[in-house]
Amino acid sequence: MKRTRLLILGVACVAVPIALSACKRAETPPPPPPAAAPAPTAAPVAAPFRVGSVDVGNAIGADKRVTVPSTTLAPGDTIYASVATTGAAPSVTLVARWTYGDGQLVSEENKMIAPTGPAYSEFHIAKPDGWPVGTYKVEILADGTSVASKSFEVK
Amino acid sequence: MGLLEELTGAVLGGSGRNSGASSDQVGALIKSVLASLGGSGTAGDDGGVDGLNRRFQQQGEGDVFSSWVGTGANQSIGADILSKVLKGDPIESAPQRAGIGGAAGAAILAQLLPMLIDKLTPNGQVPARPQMQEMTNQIARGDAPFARPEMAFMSSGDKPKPDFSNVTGGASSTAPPPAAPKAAEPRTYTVAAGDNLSKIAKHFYGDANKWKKIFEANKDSIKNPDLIKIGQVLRIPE
Repeated sequence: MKRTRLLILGVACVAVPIALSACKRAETPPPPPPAAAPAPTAAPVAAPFRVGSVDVGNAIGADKRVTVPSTTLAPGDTIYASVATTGAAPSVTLVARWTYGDGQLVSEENKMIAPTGPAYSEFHIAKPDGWPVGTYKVEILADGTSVASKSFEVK
Repeated sequence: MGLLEELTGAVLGGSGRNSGASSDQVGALIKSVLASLGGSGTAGDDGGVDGLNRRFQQQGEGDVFSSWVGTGANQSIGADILSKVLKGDPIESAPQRAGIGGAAGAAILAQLLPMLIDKLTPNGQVPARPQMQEMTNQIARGDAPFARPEMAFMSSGDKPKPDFSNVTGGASSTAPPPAAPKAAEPRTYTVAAGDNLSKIAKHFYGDANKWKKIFEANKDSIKNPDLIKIGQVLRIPE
C-alpha cells in the first residue's frame, strides 16, 4: 500500500510539471504592452514678436522687401526702409523715424500690424525737389521703443 | 561785413598768413574763382559747380567735394591734390592771375575753394544755374545783406537747416492689421414697477433732468414720456 502511494506521488511529480508545461504552451502570448498614449498636444505657443533687420534702398518688391539694399542713395530716390519681424502679436505699432544730419526730423511714418508670423513692413519717404545730400538715419520703434536703426547717405 | 571780406579775412588769417598776399590779391582771387563757379563757362569741363563736381568725381575726390556741398563738416584737401584735380581748369591758374603765385597761391586756393563751395550750396544742394550766378555776383560785388532772403545766411556764415516740409511718406506691411475694436454694446435698462424716466435718468446720470436724453434715444418705442411699460427695454445713451 505504502509503495503504491509512493508510485502515485512519483507519477504526480512527473506529470504535474508536464501538465504545467503544456498549459504554459497553450497560453496566449501576453498582449503587447499598450502603445504609449499620445501625449495631449499642447496648443502651439506663438513666438513672441521681435524686430529683426532693417534694410534701406530705393525700391521694394511685392513682398515688401527692399530689392537691392544700399546705404548710398541719390537725391531723386524714393527711400524705402523694410523691417523684418518675427513672431505674433495682437497689435503692434511700428514707427519709422527719419532724421537728417545731427538729428533734424525729416518724417515719421507709422503702421499698426497684427503679425501672426514672419512679416515685412515697409516705410517710404519721397521729396519732390530732391533730398539734400548728407547722412540720414531711419530709426524703427515698436510700441514706442526703439528697436532698430539704419544710417545711410544721400549723395 | 560782407562775405567777400569775411572770406578774405579767413584766408589771410589762415593759409595766407605768411604768403605775402594782400587783401586785394585775395579779393581778386575770390572774384576770379566766383566767376568760374558762377557758370561763366570756365569752371570744370562744362562750367559751374556741377562741372567742378564732375571733375572731382573723375579724379576720385568726389567724397571730398560732397562734404563741401553737404551740411556736415568740410573735408580738407591738400594743395597738391587740388592742383592735380584742377589741372587744366582756369580755377587752377586763378591765384597766378590774382598775383599770388607758387605754393602760396595753391595753398590759399585749397583753403578758399571748400569755403566757397560750402557757402554756395545752401541746403546741401547745388542751386540752379541762374541762382548760382546771382549768388556769385552778389558775393563778388560785396553786397550785404543779400537781396534774396534765402541767401541771408551767407552773411552770417551759418547754413540754414534743410526744409523737409514737403516730404511725403507712407507704409505698408505683409502682416494683417489689428482687428477693429468691437463696438461697445449699447447700454439698456428694463423698466421695473415704479420706474419713470426721471428716476432712470437719476440712476444712470445722477441727474433726473436728463430724462430727455433717454426719451430721445427711445422715441421709437416711447410715444409719451410719462408712459413707460414694465418690462420695456430702454436704450440708455452714454
